Order: sequence, then structure tokens, then C-alpha cells
Amino acid sequence: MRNWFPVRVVLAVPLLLLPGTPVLGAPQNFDLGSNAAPPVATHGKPLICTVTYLVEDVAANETYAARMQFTPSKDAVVGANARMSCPAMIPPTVSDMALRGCRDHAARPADCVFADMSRGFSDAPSVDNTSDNAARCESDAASQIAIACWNAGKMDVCNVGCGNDPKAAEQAARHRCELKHEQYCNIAGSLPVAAP
Amino acid sequence: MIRPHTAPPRGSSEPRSRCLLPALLLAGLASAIGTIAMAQTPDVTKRILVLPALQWNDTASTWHYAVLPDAGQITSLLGGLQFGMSPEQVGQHLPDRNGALHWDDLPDAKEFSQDVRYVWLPMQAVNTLLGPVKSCFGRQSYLVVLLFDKALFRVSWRFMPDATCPNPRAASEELYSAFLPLAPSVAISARYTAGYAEVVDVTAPDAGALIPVHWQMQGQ
Repeated sequence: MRNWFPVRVVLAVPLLLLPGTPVLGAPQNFDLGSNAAPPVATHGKPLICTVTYLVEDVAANETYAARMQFTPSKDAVVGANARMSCPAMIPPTVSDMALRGCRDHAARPADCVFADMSRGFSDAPSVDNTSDNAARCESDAASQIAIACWNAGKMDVCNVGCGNDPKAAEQAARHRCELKHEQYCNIAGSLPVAAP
Repeated sequence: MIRPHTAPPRGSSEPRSRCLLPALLLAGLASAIGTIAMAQTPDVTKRILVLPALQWNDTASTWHYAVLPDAGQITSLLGGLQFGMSPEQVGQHLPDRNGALHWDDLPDAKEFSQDVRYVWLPMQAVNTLLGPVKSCFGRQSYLVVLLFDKALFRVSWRFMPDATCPNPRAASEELYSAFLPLAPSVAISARYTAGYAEVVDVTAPDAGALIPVHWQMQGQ
């Protein structure tokens, strides 16, 4: 007596991974510190470094962008892309101020978290389950920052992506969200890293 | 002889291909259903609210607001009202008031443990305080002006739904977005839901312990 079930499962699994499943198998390109030059060069005054964070009030489902501009140091170099380089190290004080920007407006300050959330965040929604490094984009590497989320009932569970146009940034955010949470992340938005 | 539609008896020697075919069809169907389900799930745009930018020095040790706060901006958004105004001054800026506004005549705002008084008006009567709002809100929506120690410290917009506007959230977001670029040293804005009301509060930065107190709809 032979049971063919394992053979059927083995043969069926690749079909289940065909289009229609939200899990993406390609390697993730989410290098926040990328040195790749943006494709568009600007003219005139070089763009000073702006580091933009996305923070979330999970109770109100409200997303905030906190832009941090950095005065160039004396030896600052203007890149070929006419963008000032950003500091190599961003101190935690800067991240804390981004969070404070949300807390200034939240009914409950504890509801403010960085918008890049770990797997399982919906079960333990606290700032400890979020990443400040992954919730920001720097203007010397990307011109757009995006968020992509899935709705976990009462709250949106999100991740952040950077890119040089809105579509690329949203794709990066969706890719990260779908890989991390294994959910279809169809709630998305983006804005420029630097202030207009 | 017609073969009945029953499962083969355990241990029967059906050819492998006959067992495999339904499994493959089932898997293909599951994949197709997944594709359709995803295609039918509409993308939703998530609104991102922009906080006032901070300007840091090159060592990221000190900061200030990149755009200095403009006191005139808040006065304009509040239709001429200013934090600290007396009840009498507030009354001069509110439309459809019959007679002067006096502290002793004002009712208590019960959500506060302190002696906070208020005056309210229907939203339709305060167009000067609704500048950026384009979206709908219900006819029961109203505005509340709150005073402590005989001085204005908060303006609260309460957007209500009704049959003509079942969801006034967009209206509250438009109003909130207008106040958000103001530094917290000028005004502290908050948006929240209380029962079925969408609320936007704009509070004086020196209001201290009154700042975190928010209205709750009775029965909530």
C-alpha cells in the first residue's frame, strides 16, 4: 500500500508560489546607507542633508514625517548629484526628536512608534518592536521616502522604504512589509525626503 | 458499466497520474483565487502628515525649528481668536452672539478637574474658523472654545456624521493638516476620535496640565 500524498504536495507547492501569493522571493534591496548616486542632478545651490523619519501614532492610525536638516560642516563635500552628504552617524537624539514630534500630538505618547515595525508588532505594539534606522531615509541616498502597511484590525502595521522616485520608494516599502509580515501590504504613501 | 463517483477504496492501485491530477488542479485553482483576491483588494493611499522641520548643527547636538514660528498664522487659522483672550474678547470674535460673553455665565467643561468653562457654536456658524476644510461634515457638528482662569486656552472642533456625511474624518484631517506645520511652541494640535465624533483640538502651549485632557463623548 503506497500513499502518494507527499508526492502530490511536493508537486503542488511550486504552483502555490505562482502569481497570486504575496510573498516575494527576490533578494531584498533595502540598503538605507547606499552610496548610489541619484539619477537626477540639480542645478544651483546644493541640497543640504535632510534625514526624514516616518513615525506612527498607532492608536489614531496617523503617520507623521519628521524632517531633520543638517547644517553642512566646514569640510562638507558636495556630491556629484549636487546633494550634500549626510552625517555618517545619526545620534539617537535625532531619532528621539522624531518620536517626540509625534508625541506632541498624540492623545497617548506611548502610542507613537517608528513606522518600521517588526514581525509580531500587532501583538506587542511598542516602540521597542520598531526600528529607527529603518524608518528613515537620507537625502544623499534617496529623494523619496515611502510607507507600506497592512491593516491588522485596529492598527496599520507598516514598513518604510527609500527610493529616487515615489514608485521605487513605495516598491521598497511594500517589498519589506510583505517579506517581514507575510501579508499583502496594500496601504501605502510617499513624500519627498527633503522639504519642497 | 457506469463507474460510481466514490473515493477509491484504501489500498486500491489507481494510477499515479489519476491521483495527481486533482491535486494539481486544486493547487492551480488556489493560485488563481489568490491572484483574483489580490487584484480585487484596492490599494489604499496612506496620508502622511508633515511635522515642522528641525534644523540641526553639523554635530547634531543642537536644533531649532527650520522655519521660525509665525504668530500671525495661528491667529488667521483661529479666525482672529488668540490664546489668552478674555471671555469678553472671545465674544467679539464669535458670530451670532447675542450680548457679551461673561465668565460667570459660562457652563463647566466636565472633562477637566480644573475650573474650565466653555462656549459652543454650530459649525455652520463659524466659517472663519474652517478655512482649509473642503470635505463634508454632519449638521450636528460644533465648535467649542474653552477657557481657564478667564483666558482662552483651547479651540475644539467636533465633526459629527449624519446621513448626508456618514464619515467626517476627511474634514477633520484637512483642518488638522493646517495646524500641524505650526511649532508646538505656538500651538499644540491633536486629532482623535471620541465615540462617533472626529475631534481636532488646538491648545495653547502654556496650558500645562490641561494639554493632555481630551473630550470624551458621554456614554463612552
